[in-house]
Amino acid sequence: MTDTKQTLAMDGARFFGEMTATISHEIKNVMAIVNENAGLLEDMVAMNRQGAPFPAERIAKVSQSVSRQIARADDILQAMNRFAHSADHGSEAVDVGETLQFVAKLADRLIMMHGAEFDMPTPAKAVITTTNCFFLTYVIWRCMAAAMAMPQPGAPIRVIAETTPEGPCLIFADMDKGEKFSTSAVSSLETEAIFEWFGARLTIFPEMGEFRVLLSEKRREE
Amino acid sequence: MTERVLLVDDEEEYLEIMSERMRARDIDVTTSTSAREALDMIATGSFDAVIMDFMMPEMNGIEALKAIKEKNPEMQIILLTGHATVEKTVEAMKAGAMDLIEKPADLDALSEKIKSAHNQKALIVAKKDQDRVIDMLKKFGM
Repeated sequence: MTDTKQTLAMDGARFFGEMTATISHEIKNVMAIVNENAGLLEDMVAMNRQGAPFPAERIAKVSQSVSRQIARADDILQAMNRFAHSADHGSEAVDVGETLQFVAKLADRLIMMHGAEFDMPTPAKAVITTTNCFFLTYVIWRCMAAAMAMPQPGAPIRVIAETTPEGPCLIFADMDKGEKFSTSAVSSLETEAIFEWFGARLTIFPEMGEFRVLLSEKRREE
Repeated sequence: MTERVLLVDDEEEYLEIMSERMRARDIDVTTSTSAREALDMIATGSFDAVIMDFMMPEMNGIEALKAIKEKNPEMQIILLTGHATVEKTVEAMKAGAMDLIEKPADLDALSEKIKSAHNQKALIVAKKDQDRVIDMLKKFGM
């Protein structure tokens, strides 16, 4: 295995760990709420044994809360399952715009913890590329993480997927312009193994508060 | 005497149910969904303990813990976490946490910790008062 491939394998494993850790944290939050609801029911049973009536309205609220949390857990687990299967095929047709939305959903808590917000409008025409879905997910996350490492603009960071003659392009726009735009936070992306694997090209426009990542398709069949 | 607790978590539903159960156990609970808001509440209120989620937006549990301890060293802080790793526990303890408890938490065990936090804080305050009296006596040459 070449050095780059080894680095990419390790980076990929690290990314998988980061995502599964945040997902497991979310599941724990769901479990904590379900656990407290169960505890609340136990408290009501204990009070009923001492002569207090069952509060029907409160019990209905508990039931609604549990149903809500089950739906939330199902949503989280569906995303986790999709992520787990993203490495199944070496190469497949992938919708880049839709993958952007998926990464934002997968890393929802991490994004929230950064106090960041992303606005990802659906492209007028689907941006389809043939690549490895897991690595596309990873490169998108690295770009989002770099965008979040900058001082937050106080408004959502706009991410647009676009088709160009050279391949699909990710545009991170509406970031804080001028002094607050940290070129160094983004420029380090170019040294990452995943960028090399994609043959990705980074262009920064600090005065516009924008950076673009062109994902060359030269390695898509690997 | 009733224990006074500030419960901090960005999960509103968790706060609602947990505080209801705590109140049924005669614990005086105030809730907050953010660490920054909690810091303001601590500055103006009087609490025996702060129970706080480890992973919160804007300011995480460790950052909030350090900020609270800086201004209120006697405050007893219990952190709640999804996964209590050894690394995380050591980090929390070094920063002055009273305990790090894994979610979902057992409320009876947590109630015991709150009682112990109340007693510990009372002891620290009493010791401070005692030291103040000793200092005054020394000043008067007694």
